[in-house]
Amino acid sequence: MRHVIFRVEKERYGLPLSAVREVVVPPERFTRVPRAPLAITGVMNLRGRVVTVVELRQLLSLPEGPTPPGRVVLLDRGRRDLGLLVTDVDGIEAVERVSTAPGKMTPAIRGVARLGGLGVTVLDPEGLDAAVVALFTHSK
Amino acid sequence: MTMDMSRYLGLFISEATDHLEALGRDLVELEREGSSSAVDSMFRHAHSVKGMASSMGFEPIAIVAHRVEDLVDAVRQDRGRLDRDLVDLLLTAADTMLAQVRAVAEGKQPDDSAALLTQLGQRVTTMTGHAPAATRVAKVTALKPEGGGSDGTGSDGPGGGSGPGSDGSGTGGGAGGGSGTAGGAGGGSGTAGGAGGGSGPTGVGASPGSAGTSGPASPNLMNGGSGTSATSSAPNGAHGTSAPVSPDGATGGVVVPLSARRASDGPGADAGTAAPTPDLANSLKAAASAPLPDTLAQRWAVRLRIAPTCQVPGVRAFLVHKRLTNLGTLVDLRPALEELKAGRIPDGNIQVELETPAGEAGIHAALKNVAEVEVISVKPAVAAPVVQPTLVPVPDGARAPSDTASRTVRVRTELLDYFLDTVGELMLATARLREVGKVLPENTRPALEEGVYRLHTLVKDLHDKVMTARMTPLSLITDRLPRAARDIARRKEREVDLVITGAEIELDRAILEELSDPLLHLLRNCIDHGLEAPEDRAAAKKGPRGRVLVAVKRARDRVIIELEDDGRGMDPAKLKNAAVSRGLLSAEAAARLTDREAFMLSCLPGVSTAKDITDISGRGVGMDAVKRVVENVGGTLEIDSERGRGTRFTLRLPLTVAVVHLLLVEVGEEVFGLPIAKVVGATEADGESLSRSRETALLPHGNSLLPVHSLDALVGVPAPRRQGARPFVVMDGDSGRVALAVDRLLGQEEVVLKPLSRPLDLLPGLSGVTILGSGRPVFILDVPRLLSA
Repeated sequence: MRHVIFRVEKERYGLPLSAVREVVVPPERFTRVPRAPLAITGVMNLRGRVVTVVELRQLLSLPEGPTPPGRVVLLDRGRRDLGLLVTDVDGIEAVERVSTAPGKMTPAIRGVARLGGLGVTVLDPEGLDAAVVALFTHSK
Repeated sequence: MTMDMSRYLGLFISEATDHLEALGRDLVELEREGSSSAVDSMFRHAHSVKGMASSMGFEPIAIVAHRVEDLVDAVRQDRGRLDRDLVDLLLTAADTMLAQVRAVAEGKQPDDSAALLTQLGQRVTTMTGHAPAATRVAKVTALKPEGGGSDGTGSDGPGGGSGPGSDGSGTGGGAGGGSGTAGGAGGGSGTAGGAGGGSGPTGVGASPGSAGTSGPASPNLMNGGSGTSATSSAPNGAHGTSAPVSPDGATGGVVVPLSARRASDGPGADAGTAAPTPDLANSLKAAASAPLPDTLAQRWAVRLRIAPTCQVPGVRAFLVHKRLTNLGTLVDLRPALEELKAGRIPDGNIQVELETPAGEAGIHAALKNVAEVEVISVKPAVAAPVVQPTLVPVPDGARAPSDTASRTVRVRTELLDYFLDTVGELMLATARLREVGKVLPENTRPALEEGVYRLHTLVKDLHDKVMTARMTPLSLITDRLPRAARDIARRKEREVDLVITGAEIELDRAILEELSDPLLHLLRNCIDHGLEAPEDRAAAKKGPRGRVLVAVKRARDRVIIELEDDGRGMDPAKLKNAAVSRGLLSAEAAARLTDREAFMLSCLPGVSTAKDITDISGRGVGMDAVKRVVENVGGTLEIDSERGRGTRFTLRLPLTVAVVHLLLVEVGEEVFGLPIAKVVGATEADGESLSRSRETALLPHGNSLLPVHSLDALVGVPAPRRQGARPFVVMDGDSGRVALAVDRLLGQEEVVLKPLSRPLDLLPGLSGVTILGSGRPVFILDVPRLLSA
């Protein structure tokens, strides 16, 4: 299956192409969301739609660190306007065999795959979605 | 090759749901009025559901539907058998089937609800004297051969299979397998016969003829489809018929006006003149059931055209309809009345067949003064051959459903939302193009500008159309109210007449969806708290039956919904005491409130005048939620009440997606919008020099001191500490005024409110978001919620 491959710092991640609507350059500044969980970078205006942008690093509970805002990967999840803030997007590649990822199981991660001799963490769009909603419901 | 049933699953779910909801409504109506049309209509709904469910292979649903059908049939033969317990049982069955359909929609197996089946079965046995018949259910695979092959060229064979119910009124033996739905239509016509021929109220719906017309793959289910559109028009007629028998007020039953009682915005459409405009189904029926039409009445085919430049085609068309119905009986009208009123008239052409003694000159005269309408031709038409009474409606009925089916389609609501979003994006993209054009060299500019102008007009037109398509009649949510009223009243041992008027008025569906729960809550409030117990009513010299009126009106660009009861009314003093004792208000402030302001105290969380919290009201959505929802869609809520006379809730709502006035304020680097409606004023003061009470700063305002909240802390946005004078915004909170400390006032703006999409709607304290002219998204704050959350 074809996946969009992107990076957060050095780590590579993949999302099924069908789950990605488009990749955009983030605006100069995001509008902050009142009382939102930390992982929410803010909202941006995408051609008249208000899109919530989430820092993927925080969503996956990676160690704290600045994500240089490189690209926003917009998810195509029904009418949910959700974007992931990532360092850069590498391209579209076919990802075949996905095996279990090391470390703690989370619904957002489907597993790991080999791509051009390097590892790619394959994300699960439904799981990501659920993880974002969970951020909002558990933080209060 | 197996049939892909999933293609029909969506159709099944939506139509079965429609039937079941209608079944519930009919039951409630039947209990009130005992009209035979309701029994017939119920029978048809149950029968249709049985047929659809069995052809889809959903056995549990089909069996329950079959039992319901048996019971309704027994009631049809002897009305005396209908008692409250039976109504309860049937309502439970309808609810169970709805739950089963919902389960199917979620991809689960429907529950087999054995306990209910036993109850139903026992009841069938006691009522009919024999055990319930077995329900035959199609194995889904068995549909394949019947389905007319790979992509069925619409052979009418299978649909007719077991035909219009050899014993369709019996225990439904005719409804086996895939032919169940066709049987459904057939059962309908059997019903008409059973009802004693005379009026044949279900005639319009009974359209076995349509079986042949619907082509595609599974004629069975598609028949279910056209059968549905047929039956859905039939209840209209049915209501229409019952109206003259029991005029609205007399029996005071559940009156859901399905005939067009238009708001006064249509010129000349005042309800005072002549008969209330009957809808088409009604006139069709009238024409069909009239034993012998006036011998002088001749049938005329009239063709009209509305000028393409006409701004209000719907109004003109409605006027035409009204004039013609005054002349005689409309036999055929295309497009259908609903389409006409909505202004959906292809090329402005209208065709009418009319039976009138007025003659050609009379028709011309009647239409003479309708502006922007051109009469193309008035020709004598051949009257339909006189057939046996029960069969009269068939030719018309067979045609009408297939016609309406081709004119209207079901559209998923997400698609409508998507259209609106996309058109919005188109508008922005167009604006962007225009900006780009401004920097082009002079000689290339005109061509581009012309193109952009054309694009702009097209997009604007498209936007209007999309908005029109999103308009949905309020009946979508008010149809649920009679059933809810019955349930609440039954539990409280009260008698209630619910009267709903104006449900045909339309609102943007986004607003409509939001209103569903608040309306239900207000209704509960009226019945549960508003209406007195029968003995108290007697003591107050009121009729034993309480009355709740739901009136919907159009007033310019607003829709007004009034919910009114004739109960005990609200006591402002009690409300004030409750608010004071909960510390929401000082005793002095309470004393200053007018009665109207005091009524609004009931919208504060925790203030309720009910002596005891029941399981009906006082839970779930409270009045505070009602008020919030109404305000979030850009509307207002007013409460009026008179002791001993009753209470009226008035909701004033915008027709379409809300435009709100905002005061924009800056905090740190962020901009927020505060709804002007809630802003009392703004003032400047030195935050450091304010006096404090328990660490809360107090701002002198008028002759009171207001608690100060700093907005940066409330919204969790970092802002540098400020020295010296700063602006404060004074706002109405839930419990009195508050002052918000902000960094800068940026001014007022009128913006289009966008609802919050997931996950933003999970956050407390936001009422919406908008995009400013600069392209910056800005959140609109719900200050009371920010303060309480």
